[in-house]
Amino acid sequence: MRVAIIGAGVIGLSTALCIHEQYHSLVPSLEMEVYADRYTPRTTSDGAAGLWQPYLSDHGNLQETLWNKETFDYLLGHLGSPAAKEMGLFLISGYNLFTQPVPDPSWRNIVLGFRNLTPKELELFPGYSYGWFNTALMLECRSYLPWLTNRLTQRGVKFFHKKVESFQEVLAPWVKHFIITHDIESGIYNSPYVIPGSEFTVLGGIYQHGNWNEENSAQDHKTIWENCCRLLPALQNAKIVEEWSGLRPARPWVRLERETVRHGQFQAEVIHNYGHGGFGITIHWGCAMAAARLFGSILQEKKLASLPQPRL
Amino acid sequence: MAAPKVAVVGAGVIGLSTALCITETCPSCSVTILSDQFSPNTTSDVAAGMLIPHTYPGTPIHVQKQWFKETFAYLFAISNSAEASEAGIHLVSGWQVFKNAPKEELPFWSDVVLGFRLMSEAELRKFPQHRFGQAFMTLKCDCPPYLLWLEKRLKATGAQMYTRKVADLWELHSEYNVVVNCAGIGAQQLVGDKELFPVRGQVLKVHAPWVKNFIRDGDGLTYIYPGIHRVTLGGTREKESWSLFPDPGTTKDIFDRCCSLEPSLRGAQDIKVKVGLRPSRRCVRLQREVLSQGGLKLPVVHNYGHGAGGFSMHRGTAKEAARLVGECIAALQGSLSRAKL
Repeated sequence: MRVAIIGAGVIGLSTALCIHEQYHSLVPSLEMEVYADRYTPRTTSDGAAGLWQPYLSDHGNLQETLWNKETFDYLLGHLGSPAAKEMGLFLISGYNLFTQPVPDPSWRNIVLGFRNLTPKELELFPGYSYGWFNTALMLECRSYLPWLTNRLTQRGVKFFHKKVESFQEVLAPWVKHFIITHDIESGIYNSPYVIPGSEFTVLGGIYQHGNWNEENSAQDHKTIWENCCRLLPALQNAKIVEEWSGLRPARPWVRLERETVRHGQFQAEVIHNYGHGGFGITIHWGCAMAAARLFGSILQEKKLASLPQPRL
Repeated sequence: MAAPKVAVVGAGVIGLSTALCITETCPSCSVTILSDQFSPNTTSDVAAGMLIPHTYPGTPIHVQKQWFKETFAYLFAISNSAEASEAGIHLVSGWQVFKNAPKEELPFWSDVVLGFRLMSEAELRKFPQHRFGQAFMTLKCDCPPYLLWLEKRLKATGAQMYTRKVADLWELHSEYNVVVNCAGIGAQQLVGDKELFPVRGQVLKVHAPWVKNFIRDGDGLTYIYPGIHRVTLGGTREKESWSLFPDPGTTKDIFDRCCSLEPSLRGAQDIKVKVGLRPSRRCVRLQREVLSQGGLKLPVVHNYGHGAGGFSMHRGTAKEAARLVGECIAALQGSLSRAKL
């Protein structure tokens, strides 16, 4: 049985691993291949800072909240393992800042130690009058994707159009907390954020609907730099070592469903798993597991394996 | 007295911050720092520089709290300025965990640090051997950067610094009007203080930049403090040990204890081992004294014996010491005027 995974970002590779782990022993003929035009470190996932944090509101989409929680718990469970460092996985705490009080997010009980900011802490951020502090996770794709690739390679999964490079740079190593500001008017991730990684710190705050341009814009550069330095004066001494623009694959909700595609007499089962916007890393494992369940139901229908009842 | 000459003995965090406070409160003073060691070879350079106070049994709690508050406020302002990275001051959050519930539920400093609260059940799951915990955010002074920043600010005021081993405070009486003794553990030999004793601490400084939170066992023996470039792993508290040589068995023990709190540390690179002698005392010696020999007098201000709490209390005690120096100078000027009558 041949399975093709299209896309080698965090969604593609984690879905591949999830399916292979669960079904390889049940389907001995399983051959899995990954096809992508870009591999790490050139995928959209590689540009993300890697902070686990969903959007502020789930808009009633309980399914996505559950997938987020599944991902968080899965990663938390790996924190104590020797693989954590290689995966680029570590705990990080930090702030979400607002100019007015907001309701608690759907993920307040998923993260650790969620609380409101004290007045003393808010003094650090003039212009912001309300905020949260919590401990969450970082999953740096520049480490995680190679780790997933290694696991898949060990399992005999084949990759096509592969190229490998690496970046090593230092920006602001004294920053130990993430800081995400929110402006209800300008919308999510359109106001400054600072996210420290294991080697360098990501400064951001651009979310432009419908802009397909992957070239760095001088105006956006200025916006990000000035806004982040105003937020954290200490950043003025930080050294800018890299700049990157990526396209979040935004959609009103994640497309995670089966489709049968016919072309003449040929028929293929397709599992879609895309449209994770600015929360791909946050939701990836929950979606990978859901995709694997869809895979299992395909196998059952084709009677390619005798499976126990799917676990939901 | 046109320009009172003040000598500060010692160039660790106490000596340098005291000297800086003196230049602030007495701009006409000429300040000279004398020390046999400067950064990166002081006791302060070994310490992680975390603002988590040590409680002195011999000092009233309200005084310690005042010292800590002043130090915290001073460093908080720096951490929020463009100088933060040069000064090596940054905020860091994390957890203090206990195997057994601590005697006092709320330490005296809980409302000075930021966001102090008890850890939730979910957070404690990360520490299966610990049953109780506190979460908060505090400040860290990375050395050498902080000491070098203090030295730079001192030079800007015109203060002088000399490498010199002072064997006896009296030897300074002909060159200086007031002497400030910030010799730390050196005070044992310098002024023969038998109440001062070393508490040896061995630490590892490792490369593990993915560690962003501090973790400290409430027993004070095991801790993980992430700095700008390195994480400090500790430690030991060996009373009356004077050895400055790293002990390999201790290194392994510290590493194992820290890895059991934070397993990802097994991947830490480039482990450097350091040893410092905490200049410990029941209480910080912060007082005036007048040395006299053959009719000549030398006012002295002592500011030493901060033990494990040097960084936490440094600015508060430095300000008090500067105030005492002011009193010494006023007294000298008073006696000069009287001499003229």
